Amino acid sequence: MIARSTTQPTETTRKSINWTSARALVGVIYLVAQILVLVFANRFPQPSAILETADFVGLGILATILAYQSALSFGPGQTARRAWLFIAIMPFADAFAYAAFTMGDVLGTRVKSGAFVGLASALLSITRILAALAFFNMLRVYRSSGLSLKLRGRDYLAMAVISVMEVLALLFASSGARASGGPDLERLVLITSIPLVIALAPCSVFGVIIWRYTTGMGGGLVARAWRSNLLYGATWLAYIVFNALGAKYLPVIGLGVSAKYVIAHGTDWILKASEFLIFLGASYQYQASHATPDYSDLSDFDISAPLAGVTAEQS
Amino acid sequence: MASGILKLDLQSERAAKSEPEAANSPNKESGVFLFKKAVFLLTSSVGMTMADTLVKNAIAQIGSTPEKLVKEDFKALSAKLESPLSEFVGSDKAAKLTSALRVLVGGITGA
Repeated sequence: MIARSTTQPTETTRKSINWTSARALVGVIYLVAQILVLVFANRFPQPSAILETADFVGLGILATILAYQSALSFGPGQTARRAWLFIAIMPFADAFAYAAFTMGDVLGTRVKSGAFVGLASALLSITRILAALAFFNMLRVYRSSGLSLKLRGRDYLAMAVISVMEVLALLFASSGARASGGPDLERLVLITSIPLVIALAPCSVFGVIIWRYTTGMGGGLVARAWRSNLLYGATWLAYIVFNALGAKYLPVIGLGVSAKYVIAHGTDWILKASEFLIFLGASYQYQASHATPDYSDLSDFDISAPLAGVTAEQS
Repeated sequence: MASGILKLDLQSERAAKSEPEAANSPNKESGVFLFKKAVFLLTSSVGMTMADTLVKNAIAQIGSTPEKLVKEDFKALSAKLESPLSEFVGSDKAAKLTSALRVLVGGITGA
């Protein structure tokens, strides 16, 4: 039973950054650049490829810096420090992989570097295994906090759906990899599939449990950070599934050119959305770790206000 | 970190000056009021339910209950809260938040 106020104290960093506006600004710049790429890709392929890659890589680097700085705000032995270090590597790996796969378009040679693509794919696989460790570490933090956990039917359903997506991603991984990087990448993906199977299964279970914990926190920046991270994981997985299925079936099914164009770009935009989600997660955690709460006006604090907010926000 | 605590100290003075009505409230000294205010100050960072859980755990560790809480408890309470809080918001921010609890709820200045 706790008091509920109409507003909560705001949290600002030393230079009084308005984080809501800053996140919106980054989102608008990211989106506008991607729309420009979509509009001008046919007329100016190379500048469009440069803009598209710079936009994605820039956001990935920004997310990496924020997540890394968030990790450093924890003590050297703290579990959350490890979790955020693992999280920080993920947008970096995404940016690295994106640069590797689009390098041919950026340089105008249309040729991908096998070594660059192979290294990027290996890094991606490693980061997904680290994601399982990050989730496990955070699960320990939540368990030790004493916050109650009650899993519901829909949580188990979510675990099942994510597991099915993982199986689909792995089953069709070779076709997606062949379409993206050729036979070399296909071989590499098949080799890395075995540890990925081991990593992705716990990812779905831990991820859903952390999601339930975050909904039980009753709001706050930390909950938003972890929800964004988890949504990033699910969206990234959805991209892998659509990319793999598209690579396998789009060439053979009888769809029109425009329908195939929409599906291909829609799949690409899922990946781009996932990168924005990891940026959101890192920025929320950075704000939670570095911003100073503004308690200059506590007149909103009202002990007699309704107390039902706690249970209402747990769903 | 020191500048953050200083900022909170200054904020507490401003808050105290801007809240003459609250200072006259008959419930201001009650344990439940102090507990609720402590939770309120942590809500924007870790959420209402998590703040409630962490503060209750810390109160139990100092051998008290929300109803029996007094301002003098906030020095020990802040010390117990800092470690679990730092697992979510980091060490510096946890220090700032617990300092805010000591100053704004416990009324302990210069600690």
